[in-house]
Parts: sequence; structure tokens; C-alpha cells
Amino acid sequence: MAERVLDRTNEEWLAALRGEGDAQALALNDLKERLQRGIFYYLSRERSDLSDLSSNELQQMAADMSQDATLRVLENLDSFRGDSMFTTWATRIAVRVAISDLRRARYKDFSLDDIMADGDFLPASANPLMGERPLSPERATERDEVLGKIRAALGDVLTDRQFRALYAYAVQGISLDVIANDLNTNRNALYKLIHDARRKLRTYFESQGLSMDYLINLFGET
Amino acid sequence: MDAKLRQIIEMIFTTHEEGMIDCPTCHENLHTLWALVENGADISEIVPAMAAHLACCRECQEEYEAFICIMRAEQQGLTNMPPLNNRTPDTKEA
Ligand SMILES: [Zn+2]
Repeated sequence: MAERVLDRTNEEWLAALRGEGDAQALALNDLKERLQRGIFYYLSRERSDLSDLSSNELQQMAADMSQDATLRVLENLDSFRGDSMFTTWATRIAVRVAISDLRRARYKDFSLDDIMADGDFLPASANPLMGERPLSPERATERDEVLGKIRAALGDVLTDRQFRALYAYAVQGISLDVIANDLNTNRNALYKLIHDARRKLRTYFESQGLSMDYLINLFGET
Repeated sequence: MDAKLRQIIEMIFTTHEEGMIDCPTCHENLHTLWALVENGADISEIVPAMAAHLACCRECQEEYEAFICIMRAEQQGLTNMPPLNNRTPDTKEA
């Protein structure tokens, strides 16, 4: 029976995983176990959103994720450039698998149409915002004007697709993977779409003489 | 201040400019950061493009933090502890 090998050099990992028989099975098992321990640590210590799951449930989750991650590592062996420890590279892949799974599970019933049905998310009128003392008439007018500019910018400067993506990502806090799926695109194209939207808005705001400090100050506590 | 309004304002003005890298590029290089972080280097000095992306991409930031969390735990031997559910209730602490 082959013995457990705890530490392998990068070359030994690659040779074993590309090999066959017991040596490969052992390496796969060692890799999976290592990734599983790391994922379990992360799920149990860092994810407060999973705190209602039992340790057994988290273990099962980590086992499934590490299984997927091990297969992903195996499929991508040729892309390992040797620019880190092999296990560090494999951990990076495992993190992506784990976090993608968590995001999908969290937003499994997500629909962009549903959240857009919330309607206008900006305050209808800025005078006064909740919990504030009454504003001076000048300040109230100024806020209403600027709110109008923001509303116009979101509607006119952005395409409908950009607005929906930006709203879901920035206001609703929804994951790029999930929004991308809904918009029939991929995460990177969506990131670029949102990035372009952000830049367009920023250019527009700046052309209107509206800086971040000014806006935060205008709408901040009185 | 209205929370949604603030989110929109901050997101617009914290976008980074030219020289940006995209999410796949950021992800594909994440593992190379560990050697830097492990040695206490400032990634914003050594790999500014990645640091800039991480600063304005919530998703890559989340992956980066998870990755560093696991690497640190491994380094400190914390992931070698037996899984919590395998510990017998009468295990005595040292
Ligand atoms: Zn990113």
C-alpha cells in the first residue's frame, strides 16, 4: 500500500496527478483533503452568513466543494506556470469554486426583473430626509435640483442594460456571476459594462460640477 | 443620509481609471500575491494594478480575502485541527 505523502514538491505533485494508479489516487486524495480543510476553515470561521448551519452540514459543503475543486485543478494542470507553490495555486482555484457556489446558492431565485420592479430607489424629494431636522429652503431646493440631475443621469447617460446591471450590483449588492447569468453574459463582460457605466456617470457628474465631497456633504446629516 | 443614494455616489466616484485589469486577470494572478503578503509586502506598491482592481471590485476582493484567510490558517497550522464534528465531547483541552 502506498504511503501518505504530506509534502510534495511542485514537480512531484504534477507527476503524481498526471500519473496513474495508486500514486495518482493518493495525490488526488491528499489534494482534496487539503482543499477541504481549508474550505471548511473558511466556511466555519469567516462566513457569518452560514452560522445557522451545523458543523456536519459545513463539512458536507466543504467536501462537495473540494471535490469539484480537485477536478477543476486536474483539468487545469497545464495552466500552472510554476509561479507559486502548487498547493497555493490549487487553493486559489478552490476559493473560486467555493465562492461561486456560495453566490449561486444565495441568489438562486434571483431575477433582475423582480428587483427592478421595486421602482425608483432614489428619495422622491430630499426635503427632509428621514430623521433629519428641517432643511433651509435653499438647501432643500439645492437637494431637489441635484437629485433631479442624478435621476436624469441614471436614465439618460446610461443604457437600460447598464442601469439594470449597475442597480443590481451597486444598490442591491448582487453578485456579478448571478447578474451575468440573468443578462446572458459573462462576469468579465459584465464587469466591463458596469465599469463603463461608472465612468460615464463620473464624467457626467464632474461636467456638472458635482464632486463626491459636494454630494456627500449635500445629502449628509444636517 | 439615504443608504442607497450613498452607495450609488460612492460607487461612481471610487471607480479606478486606465491601466485597469479585469476580473479573470486578477483571479489568475491571485496565488502569486501570497508570497508577497506572507512576507509583509505592500501589494499596492508591488502590483498596483491588482491592488487597484481589488479596491474597486467587491467580488475579487471577497475572493482575495478568502484566499488569504485560508493560506494564513494553513501557515499557522489551523486547518490541521480535526474537524469540529469529529471531536468527542469529552476531549480535554491542553
Ligand atoms: Zn474583479
